[in-house]
Amino acid sequence: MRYGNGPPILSDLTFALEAGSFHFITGASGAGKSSLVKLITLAERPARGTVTLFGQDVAALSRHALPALRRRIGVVFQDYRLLEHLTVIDNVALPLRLTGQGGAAVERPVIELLQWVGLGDHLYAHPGTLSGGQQQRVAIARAVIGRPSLLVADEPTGNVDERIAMRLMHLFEELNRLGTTVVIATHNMVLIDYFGYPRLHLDAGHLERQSGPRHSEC
Amino acid sequence: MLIRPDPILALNREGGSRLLAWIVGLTTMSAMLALVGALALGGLTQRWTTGLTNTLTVEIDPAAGTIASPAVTVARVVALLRALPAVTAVTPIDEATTRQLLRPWLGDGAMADTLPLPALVSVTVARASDSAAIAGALAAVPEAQLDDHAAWLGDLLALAQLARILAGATIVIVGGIAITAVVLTTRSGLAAHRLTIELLHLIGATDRQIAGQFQHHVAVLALRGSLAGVITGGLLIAGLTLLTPLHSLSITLSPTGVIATTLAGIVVLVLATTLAALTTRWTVLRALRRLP
Repeated sequence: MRYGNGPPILSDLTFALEAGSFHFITGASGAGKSSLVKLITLAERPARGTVTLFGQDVAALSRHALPALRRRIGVVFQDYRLLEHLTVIDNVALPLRLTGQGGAAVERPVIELLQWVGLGDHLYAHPGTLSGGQQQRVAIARAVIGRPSLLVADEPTGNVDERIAMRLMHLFEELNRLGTTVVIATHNMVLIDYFGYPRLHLDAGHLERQSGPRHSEC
Repeated sequence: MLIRPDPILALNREGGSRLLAWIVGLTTMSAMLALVGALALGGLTQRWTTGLTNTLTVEIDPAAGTIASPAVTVARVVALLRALPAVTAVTPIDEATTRQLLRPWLGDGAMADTLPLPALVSVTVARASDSAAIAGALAAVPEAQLDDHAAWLGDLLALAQLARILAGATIVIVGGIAITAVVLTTRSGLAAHRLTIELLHLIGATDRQIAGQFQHHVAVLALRGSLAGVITGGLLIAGLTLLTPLHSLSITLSPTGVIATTLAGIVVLVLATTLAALTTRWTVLRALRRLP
């Protein structure tokens, strides 16, 4: 993968993630973690090679087929990417609104989820009035509200304290237990070591697969 | 309801939106003026055509007659014409009336009273095509010449037709300006909201959903702008009709004129809004196709 005519950012990557698995993507800054996340979330397409998601070759899919595939993927962005003119509840409800749902079918799960991530008192706040950690939780709630088959998070705990980071990781684990495949790009070694899920370690755009010990208690 | 159906893209926060409404308003007003002008010209030429094509004038040249006096020739022509079944009315025009008709051109001087004038006979026929039969019958009277007004009416109709073409061209040009403004505003909106559009794609929005956001936004702007343009245009036409000699033409103040103007306004309003919405949709879908 490369941006425009620039040098390759990722090369010679071959890996498969089993459905229902939990992986960390690790690597130093500039190793290509965010680029790999973009490939997995269909934000970019590879210059060469094949990306297969849910058994489908992405390159062979028509443009009209992509939204349905993307709705099966929840994405947590490093910079949150919340819509400033919408309230917290509207931001989180967005993926459901895009599927045509509305009314109580959307409100109930959105409010429950926001309460679960500790934002029950900020339903009508605008993102600009929230702290970085609160915005991160809104972004995570938006990514998981549609019960995605695959959840991909880019540095999801980068702006939250240890207690919230642990709570968010438990949320990811909960989703994983329900069958969601989880991929988290992070350089938080404490979390990586604590949770011990398998790692996809990137070094200068090349993949080195590593496995870590599974933690014994949460 | 706790979750409000707010627009997903905050397009109304852009300054270009207000400008677009102004442009659509001004172009709509221009289009309406041109359209009503074209309709009025159409009605006018129709009246000219129906009013004059069935009316002919026979001129009896006083210099051409060598044997009979003009009065005798007029009587002969009247008798000849009244015998024709195609003729519905024959009215000799006396010399005083003829001089009165020419007074605006000749003035009140002595020449107006001494200049030899042709004797005139006004003839009304059932159908315009009957003029050929009249001309044939008048061949028996060498001093008489038939004027079916074709020469100057043809020029006038050609002028009216040119004015209507220009009105049509004006509508096309202002439509082009409005479309260009819509395309540029939409492209500007796409550039300003690039990151949000990328996000929406990633969380599963279809191109049509994103285009729908732009389309709705521009349609509302175009509706507001064109409504203001049509109302202003209507008031302008009414004002012009009341304050200028156009009043005598009864272009808009007659019941038919009011209905025609209102219909023209509705047509312009619907067309402007629809055109703006479809242009936006096309522009957005075309731009989104280039994204991953």
